Amino acid sequence: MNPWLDLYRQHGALRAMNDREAANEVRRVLRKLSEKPYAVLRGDAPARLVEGRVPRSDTVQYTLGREREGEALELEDLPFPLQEAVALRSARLAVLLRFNRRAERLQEMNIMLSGVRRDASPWAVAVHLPPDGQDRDGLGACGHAALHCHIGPTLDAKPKVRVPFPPLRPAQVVEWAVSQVVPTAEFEPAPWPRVEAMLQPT
Amino acid sequence: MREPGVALAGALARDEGGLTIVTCPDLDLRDWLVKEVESLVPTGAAPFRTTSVAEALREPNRMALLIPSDEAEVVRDLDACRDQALDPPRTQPIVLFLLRHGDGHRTLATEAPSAWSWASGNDVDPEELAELDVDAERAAFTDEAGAPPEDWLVPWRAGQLPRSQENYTRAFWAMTLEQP
Repeated sequence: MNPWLDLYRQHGALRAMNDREAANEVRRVLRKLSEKPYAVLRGDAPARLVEGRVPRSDTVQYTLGREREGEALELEDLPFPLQEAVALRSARLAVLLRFNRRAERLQEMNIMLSGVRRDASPWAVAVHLPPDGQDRDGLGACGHAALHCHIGPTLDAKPKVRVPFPPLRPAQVVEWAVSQVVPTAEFEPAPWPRVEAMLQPT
Repeated sequence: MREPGVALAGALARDEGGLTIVTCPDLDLRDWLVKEVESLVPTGAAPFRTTSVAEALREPNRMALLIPSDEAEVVRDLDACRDQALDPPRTQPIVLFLLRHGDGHRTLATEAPSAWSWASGNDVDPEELAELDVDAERAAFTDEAGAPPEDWLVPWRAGQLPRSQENYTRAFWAMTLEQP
């Protein structure tokens, strides 16, 4: 049981973060994803991570686009060899983050990338950290880890796969989600040569 | 409603090489807004922080993030230096961070007509724009979902609604608007 308990504790510890710092980290990733020649998001994507503060409360949310539906990835304009490597015909990235500003706590994270394959079938990946205090769904911390990732044709398709996710911050989750769809070294934040160099003893 | 980030990015981009004023509610938030601007601008803008107008003017091809120690003095300096910003013409704006209702805004309105017109239309208060209109949001939710947020969340929390992407998004929206 201990590894699952440890993971649950790590997911709880992940929630401790400053909302503005986390949002700026996400904006920097969105900026990378929106700069040519490998831009997959429109140029103003960093600005479209919209802050919404509930008056007279500590709640603040950030959504990619005020309407929460996210942004379409511009896959058709990618350079040729990469375009061939992208298995989706269309895709949309949604980022939903809610914080308690005063407590400096991530209350909920929902980062979804859904799209349509070239054979017109749907595909979706979604990383969920349920609302604080409501993250003990399912039977336990293995089958339904607090921070988990759905992968499938839709989020509701059976079997409902929930992959336990490592305790990564929102910006890294966005990096990971896009890396699954657009496999380019341009977007790889931890390329193996750099990892290898950093693993060398100094 | 204007999106705060879009309004901020728009103010930065509107007048290439111009003067943009970002209004901050307090000093602590000013630091965060500086970081937000740094995260929004294209890498090529090469933003740098400075407290001095002279230093900002020396770098016409970089975005100068002007964070005054003395707001009134910096506004007066800008007022006197507008011509220097035209020769050579700047390719990146000067972004001046001023406190809401502070000395900088007062000086701008009363003693600095040149700086005032230079920044005209390029001023933005992102923190003010970030405030949600909860009544309008709740009305929009109820209209779209057919029930107020609290009522919609009852079957959602009981696991009676499909776990679709649309519903996850709606649940997120409802929980932001939920009232105790």
